Amino acid sequence: MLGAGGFVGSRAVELFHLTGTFDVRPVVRRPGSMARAARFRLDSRLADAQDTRQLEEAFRGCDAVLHLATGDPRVIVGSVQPVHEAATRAGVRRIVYMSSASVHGQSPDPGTVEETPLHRRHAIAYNNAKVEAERQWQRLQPRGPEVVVLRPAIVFGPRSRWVSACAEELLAGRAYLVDRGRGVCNTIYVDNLLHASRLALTVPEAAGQTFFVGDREPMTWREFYEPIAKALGIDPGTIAALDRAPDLRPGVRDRVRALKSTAAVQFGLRCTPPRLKRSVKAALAGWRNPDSAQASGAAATGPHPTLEMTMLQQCRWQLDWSKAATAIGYEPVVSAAEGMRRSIAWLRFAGYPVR
Amino acid sequence: MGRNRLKVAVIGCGAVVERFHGPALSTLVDLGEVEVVALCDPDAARLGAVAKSFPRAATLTSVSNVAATQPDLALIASPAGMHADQSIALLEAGIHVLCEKPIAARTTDAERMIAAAVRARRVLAVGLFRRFYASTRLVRGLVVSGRLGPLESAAIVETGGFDWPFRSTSAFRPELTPGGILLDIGVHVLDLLSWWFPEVRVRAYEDDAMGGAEATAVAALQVAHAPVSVRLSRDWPVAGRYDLRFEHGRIVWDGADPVNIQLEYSGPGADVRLAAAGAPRLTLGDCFRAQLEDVIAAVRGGSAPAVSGADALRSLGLIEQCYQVRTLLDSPWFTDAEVAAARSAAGERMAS
Repeated sequence: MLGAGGFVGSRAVELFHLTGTFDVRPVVRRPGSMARAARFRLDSRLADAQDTRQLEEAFRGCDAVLHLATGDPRVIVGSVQPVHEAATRAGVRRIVYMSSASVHGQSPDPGTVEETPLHRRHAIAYNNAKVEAERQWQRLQPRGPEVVVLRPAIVFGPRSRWVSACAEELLAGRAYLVDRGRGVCNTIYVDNLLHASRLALTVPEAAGQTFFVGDREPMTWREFYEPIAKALGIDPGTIAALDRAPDLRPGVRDRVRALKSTAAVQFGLRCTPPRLKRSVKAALAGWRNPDSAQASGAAATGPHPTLEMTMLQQCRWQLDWSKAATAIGYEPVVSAAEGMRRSIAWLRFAGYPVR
Repeated sequence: MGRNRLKVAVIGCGAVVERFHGPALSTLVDLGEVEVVALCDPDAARLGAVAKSFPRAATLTSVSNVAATQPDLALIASPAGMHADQSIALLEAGIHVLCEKPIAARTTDAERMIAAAVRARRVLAVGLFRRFYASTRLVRGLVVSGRLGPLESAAIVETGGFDWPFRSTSAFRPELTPGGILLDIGVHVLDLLSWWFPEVRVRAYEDDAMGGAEATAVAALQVAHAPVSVRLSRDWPVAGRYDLRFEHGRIVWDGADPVNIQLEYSGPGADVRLAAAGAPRLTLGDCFRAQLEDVIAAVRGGSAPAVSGADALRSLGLIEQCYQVRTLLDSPWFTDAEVAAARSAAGERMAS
């Protein structure tokens, strides 16, 4: 389980270990990321997702790798080849790579299916990095372990940023809904994603395939926000309405991230003195995106629309996971409503003021 | 003519040494107070990293070689499970010890350490550095003064580990650190409560360890008649907060600020005067340095250390009581199958 310290990884360790689905070996980058996996008596390992030697050591003895590690675009792209090489050397038979539906953008065109051609002209650097990573996996597929790619969209559940950020924005009075929240929220409750992951790890027909995966019940963004608002004692009717999405262009940092993920810049960065890199990074960290509402001196409360969220909330296409249903027998095992109930229970557990 | 420099050995070269003890020692080296004669860590990379600041120190991979460098004082910053044996060996070699928190993994080990220090007539101090904050001293002063009246309730939340640059996995290996966030961060909370109030009792405790070390711990304590809730988590970050409500006032502290607290006073008579008002800027580094200076003064014979082994034994005793009455914390997103397995795994831990 590479990236076992993150949101999906933490839940994967819990579910797969406690239900005895797999003998789990959590692999994390930093010792501090072991905290959640360390609740169990497991053979957790440290490995940087870009370090072939460390990865090979961590993978040795494993039949399959569930690659959940993420990071900035440099890590997303830069981890593909080392993970593949390490898994090959360690004798791993299959890799399941957790990609993202955002390879098609936050608001995919109607009719988008798994085979729809990808491009790297997205405004958000993360999307482009995921596209590049998928392309690298495609190139590497003919040799080494079998590769399966999953493309979930809005993965929610305990510790999900969608759930926690939604709660925090609601509590801070910053939440907003574009177009009255009618946009399609392509959810997948995390346990459904892990059910799909189990199938991707084990079903022979999955090899070499790419799948959308999602919940059974369609959901709008309003339907996503409403139960969380109610649980926090907030009237959903008070959520700020943005009739039209503001014209948000990608910020400087997004544009720099997109640039950084290109091969030429990657090479250049390796040749740049660390001190210079730190200076540039510090300057960027201090940069306030002039396109954002926050930077324009807007009040601390009230909506702070972001490019990613406004694009997501304008989605009009329900991603179709019938290919996964046909090829590997994927069917959601938890209803979206039950997933939301468990997510709200987690909010209470985590200390949010759930009533 | 200046005093002889105190010779210091550092056992364990992890993050707390790199970030805090090392810089504090460097300052004291510059001031002519100490000389770092030995650094010890089984990891050569860690040794090398800390040795950059102390190029004249011997670099050792085994504690058994430390005594030969003839230190006056050993700073023990190794994993908790190693504290007792290392401290006792060094005390018996005639070396004073400043042991990082927790003093030990078990009270029986701590008691052996205290006895060894008495036998050897050496200082055994414990690194509970929050006692050197102006803020925590102010809370103690206010509580001891009685001006706020009796405590009526307290709610404490702390998170830990999210930004801490652990240099090894030792904090998550039960053979080296037989406990989770309660032992690591909870020891600070329980030490402060024991320092501020005369008697702290454990009423109930639950955590989420399922065969390993807890990431979330919830304790129900009691101070006199006041209920005290403590919630610790390295599973999900939340803002730290100590909310202490008294008959005549309220103290709110974020658990990290070395200087500031919020105080509401509603009692009779004149306003409560704040001893720390106008306190100079104080950093965590300053507190670590103050802690070292306090131990150095104790070694030189001037005073007892601010936090002795016996002081630290109280918070460790509370931790042990918590683990003894432990029940499994509910994870409400678990499936039925997970709940059953979690109970079984947690039971295994309790029996071990």
